[in-house]
Order: sequence, then structure tokens, then C-alpha cells
Amino acid sequence: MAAKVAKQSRSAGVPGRKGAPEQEGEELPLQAVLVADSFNRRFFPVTKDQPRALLPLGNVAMIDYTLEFLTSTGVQETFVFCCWMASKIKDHLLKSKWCRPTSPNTVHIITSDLYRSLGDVLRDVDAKSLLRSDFVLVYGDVVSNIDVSQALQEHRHRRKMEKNISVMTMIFKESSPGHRSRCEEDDIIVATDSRSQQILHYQKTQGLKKLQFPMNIFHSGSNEFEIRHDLLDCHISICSPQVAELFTDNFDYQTRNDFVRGILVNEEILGNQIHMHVTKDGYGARVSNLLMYDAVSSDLVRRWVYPLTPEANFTDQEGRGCTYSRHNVYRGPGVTLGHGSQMEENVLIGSGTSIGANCCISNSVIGNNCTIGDKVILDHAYIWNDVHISSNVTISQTVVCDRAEVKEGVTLNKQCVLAFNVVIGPNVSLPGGTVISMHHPEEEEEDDDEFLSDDAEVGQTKDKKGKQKMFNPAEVGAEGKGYVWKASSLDDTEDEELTQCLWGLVLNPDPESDSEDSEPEGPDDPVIPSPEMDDVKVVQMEVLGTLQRGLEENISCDNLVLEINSLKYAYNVTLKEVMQILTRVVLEYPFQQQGSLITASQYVALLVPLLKIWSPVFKNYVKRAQDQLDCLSAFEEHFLEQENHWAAMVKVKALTMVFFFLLHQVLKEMYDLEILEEEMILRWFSLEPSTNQSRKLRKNQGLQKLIQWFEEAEESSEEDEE
Amino acid sequence: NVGILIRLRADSHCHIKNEDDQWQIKEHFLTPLGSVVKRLPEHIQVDDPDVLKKLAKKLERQQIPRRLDYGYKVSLFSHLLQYSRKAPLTQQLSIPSAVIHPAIVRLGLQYSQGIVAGSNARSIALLHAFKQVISDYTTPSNEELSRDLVNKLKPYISFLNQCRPLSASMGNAIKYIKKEISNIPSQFKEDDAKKKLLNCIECFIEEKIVLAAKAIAKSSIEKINDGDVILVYGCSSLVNHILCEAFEKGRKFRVIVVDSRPRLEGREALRRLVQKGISCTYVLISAVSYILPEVSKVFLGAHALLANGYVMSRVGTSQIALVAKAFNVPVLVCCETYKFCERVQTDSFVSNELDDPDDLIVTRKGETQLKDWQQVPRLGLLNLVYDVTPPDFVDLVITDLGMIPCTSVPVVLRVKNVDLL
Repeated sequence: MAAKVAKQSRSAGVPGRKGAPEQEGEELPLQAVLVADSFNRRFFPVTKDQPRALLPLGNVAMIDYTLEFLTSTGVQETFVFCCWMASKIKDHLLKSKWCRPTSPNTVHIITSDLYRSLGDVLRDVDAKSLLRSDFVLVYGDVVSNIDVSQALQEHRHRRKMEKNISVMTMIFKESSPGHRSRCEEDDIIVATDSRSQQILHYQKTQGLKKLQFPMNIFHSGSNEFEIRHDLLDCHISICSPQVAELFTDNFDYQTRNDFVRGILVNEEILGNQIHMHVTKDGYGARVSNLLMYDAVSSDLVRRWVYPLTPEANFTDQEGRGCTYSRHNVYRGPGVTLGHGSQMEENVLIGSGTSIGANCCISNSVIGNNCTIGDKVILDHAYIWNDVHISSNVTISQTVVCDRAEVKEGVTLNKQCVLAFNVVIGPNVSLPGGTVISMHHPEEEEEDDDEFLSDDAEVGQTKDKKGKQKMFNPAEVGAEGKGYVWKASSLDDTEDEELTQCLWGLVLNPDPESDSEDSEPEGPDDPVIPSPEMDDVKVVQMEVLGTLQRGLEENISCDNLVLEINSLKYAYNVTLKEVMQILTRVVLEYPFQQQGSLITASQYVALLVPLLKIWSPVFKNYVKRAQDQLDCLSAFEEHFLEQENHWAAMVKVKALTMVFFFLLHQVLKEMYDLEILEEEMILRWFSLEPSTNQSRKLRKNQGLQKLIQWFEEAEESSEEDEE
Repeated sequence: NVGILIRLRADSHCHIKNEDDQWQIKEHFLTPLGSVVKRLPEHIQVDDPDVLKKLAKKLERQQIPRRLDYGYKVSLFSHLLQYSRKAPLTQQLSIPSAVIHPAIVRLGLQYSQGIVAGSNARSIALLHAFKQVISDYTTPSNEELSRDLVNKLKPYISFLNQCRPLSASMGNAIKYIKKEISNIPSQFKEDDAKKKLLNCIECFIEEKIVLAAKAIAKSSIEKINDGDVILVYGCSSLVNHILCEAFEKGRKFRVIVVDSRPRLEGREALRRLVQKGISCTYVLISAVSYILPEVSKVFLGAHALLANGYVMSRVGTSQIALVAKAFNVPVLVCCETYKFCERVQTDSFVSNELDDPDDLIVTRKGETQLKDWQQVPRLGLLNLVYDVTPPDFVDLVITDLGMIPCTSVPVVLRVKNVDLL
């Protein structure tokens, strides 16, 4: 039966390749687009060796869950798009049950090194015109058991009723705020029309306490609408073929967020709408960081994703079935358990693993062919395949990747990661949040283009290994092998930033860095801001454009001022905001031109002539004393932000000091150009510093020297007058 | 004289209760041979038209509307009353009600809608309502407070009894209040008398309920060891209190909350325990034999402890005790002494409470099973509230007087009655 269905779908698939939509009413096979790439580096360094879609979750690769979800929901043809380590994903899929002739779901694998975002994938879909009808769009790291057929029906019904107005139906799951499976970064607030389920507003909360809603959602057609914060975005969407076309039309759409925002903003112009479907039961979550990995794994073991349970062996692999017993304990074939060892609850142990005596294991997943010694305590540990753990080891909330080795007496505290092939110990204790990898953190800096090449890159690293420094025994133990990911010379705050990257703890919610998470961080494409964030961002973009043009075409400063003024009125921003924007744009300009990897001296060298050129513009806006203070605080803010932003990317060491230095250099420039009066600088300096970091900034030596110089200068001038 | 009678009864070890106005002890007649004339309480002989007529007459005298019976009873339980939650008694009251104090009306509605449930909560609510009544009370001229107030309370009690049959604990509380009122000397000034009564009620709540719970928690904690797996059933405020106290004392244990339809009170217990940080498992009563092998102790709450040592509690309790006995797991019942009752019962049929059968109807995925069950002539829905557990299944009763076996209930009752004098 299954084979028959597959055959049908294939025979239907071939003539449809021309892209012409077939006759209405004819039931087309349901298609899906699976994006097997996250287009970000959240799982680095783990994903340096294995793409995210292939990371094991409950001893099964994540992409298998997604494919099983699609198949069970009735999808008959799936296009898998791979970019990073595409060959590995392809190998995996070719070996899996999805590529067997009996599979009810035909999987087509499409690989390209050129995909940088979801937008690229969908543009390619459109170019190749692969899709004929509505399709399901998912990422390769979505775990779900939601039955989307009802949503699909609603979607089709809507499309039939109002010709092609609704382009997308997003699937949400009801779950209260603070629920474990709600990703903090993905926390959303949605405003919908309660009758038609049309989405009027969609926004990530990003930890904000205050949210602003555009007025137009309040006077839309229907007089009933809801604002909901109890929804979890499952990252499953039902799209019409128009979606791919829209991505082609708007080449600046990179992510689904861009798309949703774009559609909502331009609803009146283009007439496209997005609807939602809320499911109460069912499970759907995206593994977007390690914290979510932890949450989804434990939900899986606790059978929330039924029927996708570990013992179901839905991937149909030989020798992978396991037994299920009380307290959610799963044991694969050939598992040996020593005397006195306890598996308390929610434990999954893969085949061929042996565990020594007197161990205590709870809430953990252990992969295949691992050996674990005596008196080992594991709690929330995720141990992948072929791992060796010696005796007297304590591990809590940690991911240990394939072929890693943990020697005797090691303690791994919360939120550690041991990447592939790492050796730790003996007798060391890793502080919480440590990430150990065989890749040296500086390696990344050296090969910037690694995002493009994958197989070649592996070879490169092997070459480099020879010239790299020795392993630090203080970090990884006397017999250890591996580097602490992210240089240890950086200060503590940056270690925390690291955990933010991998474990997804939002320590200091910074809207700027968050919005960039979803975007490729390739060094040579300028950061494309997503359309319509708010007016200030738009104005900033416009100002940047204006200045750029001014520079290229030698437009006089007066005209620039005119243009900026018109922007001010067009977007109704205050003078103060204009000034802040202006300062920010000017200060960021060197980054825009040269990428974010320039050194401090280069930066200054670029900035100084710019300041000279644009000084009339500044003079026009910075007139009163208050303006000067605002200008200075904008400077300060910018540098503090920049510091954060750079730290997150960790490209340059000891950035902090450099920027303090920078700040006073730039200040001096402005001073020399007489835009800022010295009194104002002194007054700003004496103002109460608002944040810790700005206090630190003010303590900076260079700055103090400058201030001192000002003060002396002032005194001397006063003396002269006398 | 009431006191002497009680002593007489306690001395003669006669457990048969004789009531006219349901919980009020009236004179009863000892025949020369010493046997007692047994009169059944009226609420368990609803199928007798004579009794019904008498009840109607009494209500008419007290100017209280009579609540209509739901009907559609299972034949074995036709002697019990069955009300519908959709037709509360308060709907038949004229507003403003001249006879019934508003606090009592509100309480009656809360009882009949199940907003206030659980014998402790019901007793405390009752006592607070009575406090309100007493403080609003003024003695009419040419009347005596001790007599008039008791008479005033009578219609209130029969009103509440119609809203939902009174629990044993409430009966004891009412008995106590009536005794305190009748004990007030006639020369007392009204203000002083009221103050004294309010004080007495406060004392009752504090001593018999709050402090009793503390005492029980103290002795129960001794029975909770590290590593214990404790099974609880439904939502007993006392058991929850014990578990929270034990957890705060640093005992390491796990709790299995067993629940049953239709009330699903266990969810409330689960919420309270999980909020404290106690690790819990939630199962329905049908899974109790599956879960029992890992249980080390069973803690049960009680609605009342009867004089023959039977434990009256939420329906399902005796089943759990039976299964626990079969698995050799100790069953501990926690109960304050004010819930001890002189009644004797050996089965759950004769005296019980029938809840609204409509509660059993479920709607799942938009589909309602049992929607028109009244139309099916051969179908009866039975929603029992209580059952009794024989003392054989109960290993220990933890009371504020200490840990006793079930069979010592008469002794406690005797001691208590001596105290009352």
C-alpha cells in the first residue's frame, strides 16, 4: 500500500515539474520543504563536526523526527535543502528509511553551498519551480507530533473562499509563559483577529516588559481581536506557492520573521494575509539552542511527543529497538548494568552500552556503545555515541559528544559541553558553562570563508593542528585533549556570553544582537537589517544611505542636512533621535565599509576623515548645550553597545581596552573640530554614570587624561583672561 | 439534660444514635430493659412518603423552601436525596429573605455548588458564618438569649442541610456551638454573651482544627522517612499540610497523587505540593495497583471516623486501602478528633450522599457522552460521595491525641464527652 502511494506521488511529481499549477479540485500530493540548516552558529563548536540536523536527540538524528512528523501528517514529497555539511546529511538520508522504495514520503535532497538563509532556499525553490501547491515549511530541527491536516484544511478553505489572499498559516501551540518548551529567544506575542484567525501583529518579546502595538491593528475590519502571549511558535508553517514568489520579489527577506513582518506591514498594499492555527494538544518545538535541546530531550523521554517515543524505533534501524519500563527507563539491546547501579527516572540508554557498579543515573540520555565506569553520577547528562567515562565522575546538565573521553574523578558542572573527540581529566572540575572542543577558537578567525566550504575546511584544520599550541593541562587535565572554546584571555563576562550562544540563556537581552542571531554572520555581507522594525531603524538606514551617497557623489553638506531634515519630518522622529541616529551612523560607518574585523587604529584612521567631511552636518544639529550633551551620551551609548556586540562575536581580543582608547580618540577629534565645546565634555563627564559599564568607561585612564587636559586648559585660559 | 444523657450513653457503650433534628441530641428513651428505640434519621429514608410529609411540614414551620429532588436514582440508593447543582435552593428564596441570614444563604450556595468542599473547609466556613450571625443577633424583648438563639439557628441548619447534607465534622461543630449557647447564664448581658460565644468559636477553630493539624503533622513526620514514596488520594487539606511540613523539615520523599473522576480534586493537591517543590507523580485510581509496588506508605484523609472504627472518606478510599493491604503497604489515616462521630456504619449504602449525576458527563473533543442519559430508561447514574473503609485495612490513625488504632475510636469519644461536661 505504502509503495503504491509512493509510486503515485512520484508519477504525479514528474509532469508537475513544469511549475504550472494544475487544475483545481484535483488532489495534489502534499509537499514539504525541509530546511536542514539553521544558518547560524548557535551550536558551534559542536556543529563544526556535524550539522545540526544530524545531532542525536534521544539517540536519533533530529532530521528523522522532522521527516517522521512530515510523513505522519500526510506529506508525500519532501525537498530537503542542505548547505552546511550537505554531504553528511545526504549520506544519512540515503541510508535511512526515507530513501527506501517503500517510503510513503519521497525525499529529494537538494544541496548548494550558496544558501545563506531561508530566503535563499525559497528563492531557489521558486527558481526551480519545485512546488505546485500548498506546502509545509519546517526546519530540520523541529520535533513535533502535531497533526496539521486540520490546519491544512482550514488553509485550503481560506484560499478557496478568498482567492489567494492568505499566503501562510503558522502553527502555534498553546503553552503558558515560562513553560519549559518555550524558547526564551522565541518568546512571541501575537495579535489576531479572533474570528478569522488572521494575524495582525507578530512580535518577539525579547524579554521586554513593555510592548508597543501599531494602531492599525485596533481598527482593522473585525471588531474582535485577541492579543496572545500564551503561544509557542512551533516553526511549522503551511505556505502557498506564493510564498516562494514573494521571497523572490523581495530579495531582502532573509528569515521567516522578515517575511511575516513584511507581509503584515504591506498587507494593505499587497493584500496578502497570514493566518494562524492554534493547537491545544500535540507537541511542537524547535531545538534552537542547547537549553531547548535539554527541554525537548526530556520531553521526548517523558513521552510528550507520543507516538514518537524512544522505544518506537520509528527510524526502523536494525538493533536500535529498546525496552520501556517503569519511570521512563529505556534500555537498548546489549546494555549491561553493574551491581548497585540505579537508573532513577527518565533514562534512555542506547545499545551496547555498559555501565559500571554503584552508578546513579537520572534524566539522562546515553548513546550507543558507551562505557561508563563505577560510581558515576549523571543528571541531565546527554552522552552521545562511543563515549568513555571512567569511574568517580559527576556530570550534570552537560552534553558530551561522540568519541569524547572523561577520565577519573572529573566533575562537569552545569551547562558544559564536550565536543567531538575531546579528552578530559583526570581529576579536574570544569566550571559551569565551559565548552571544550578540539578546534582552537582562533582557528575561526583565520579562515573566514569556512561558511562556504565544508569538506575543504576539515582538511584545512588538520593541516593547522601541527602549528597549534599545546593543550592547557589546567583546563582539560593532565591527559586532556582539547581547547576551551573561546579564548581564556577574555574576561568573565564574555564566558557568560558564550553560554548565551550555546545554551541560549539570555543574560542581558540585547535586541540588536538577538535580531542578528537568525542572520548569517558572514563577514563580507553587510548586516542587512530586516524591514520595518521601527521608525528609528528605518531612519537610521535612510541616513546611512544619504551619507553614503553624499560621500560617493560629493553632495554638499547643506543638501545632506536638508535630506536628513525631510526624513525627520517624514518619520516623525524628534531632533534628539535624529542626532542619536546621526552619531550612530557615522560611528558605524567604518564597519559598514570594511566589515567588522578592522582593528582599532584602522577604525580611527577611517573615522577621522569622515568626521572632517561631515562636521558641517554635525554643526547643524549640535547647537545648544543640551544637544552637545545628547550627542555625547549617544557616543557613549554607541561604544558600550558596540562593546557588547563585538564581545558576542569575539573576533578581537581585549576589545574592551581598545574601545576605551577609541572613545577618547574620537572625542578628541570632535573637540578639535570645535563641534563640541570643552565645557560640555566636562559636564558630561561629571554627570552621574548610569550603568556599571559606563562607570567603568569613565575610569578609563586615557579618558581621564583627556579630561585632565581639558581642565588644565580651561584653567590656563581663565588665567590668561585675568 | 443533655450532658447526663451523653454520659449515660457513653457509659452504656451504646453507639446507636438517636436524633430528631438531625444532629441535635434530644431526649431519648431508655426502656426498662435497656434497649434503645431506634429512629432512623430522615435524610436516609426519603423513599418513605410519611417521612417526607413530616419533613415538608417541618420546613414549612421554619419557613424554608424545600429543595426538589433530582430523581432518576439508582434503585439501591432511592432512600437518599439527590439534588441537581443546576437548581440550587437559593433560587427559590424570596429576596431579601426574612428568615435566613445572608451569610448563611451565601454559605448554602457555596456548599451546593461545591465551591467550599472538604470537611475542614466546610466546618471553618460554617463557624465563620455563625460568627457573623451571632454578632448580628439581637435578643428580642421578653426572650432569653440562650433559648432564642438556638431556636434561631435551627432553620439555618436545616437550610444548610438541604443545600448539602451536613458532614460529621459540621455536626460536631454545631453540637459544640449549641452547647455553648445553652451554657450561657441568663443573667449575662447580651454583649458579654455574644463576645463569649464569638470567643468560643474562635477557640474551637484554633484548637480543634489549626492546632490539631499541627499536632498531627508533628507526629506524622516521625513516620515519614527519607526515600519514602507516599501515596495520597484526592485532596485532603490535612495530608497536604503534613507533607508540606515534612518537606520543610528536610525529609526526602516522593509523592504519588491518586485521583478520580468526576471531581479530580487530586489536581488541586498536586498543584499545592508541586508549588512547594515536592516531586510528585499523578495517576488515576484505575492505575493504583500498577503504582502500588513502588509505594512505601499510604496517607489518607478522612471525612469522619465512626464509632466502630470504620473510616468514612471520599469514595475510592476504601478501594485504595484494600489494594494497599494486598500489597502489604501500611495505610495511615490522618484525622482530627473533632471529626470523630458516634455513628456506626458497616457499609456505604445506608447512609451516604448522592452528588449531582450530571457531573459524570464528560465532553471530550467537542463530543459529549451521556448527553441525554435521563432519556435512557435502563440507565442510572450513580455519583456517590463517600465510602467507608473497614478497620482491617487501616494500620494506624494519627490524631491530635497521638497515634491510635482504629478500634480505639470509642475510647476517644468517651474521653471527649467527659471533656464536654
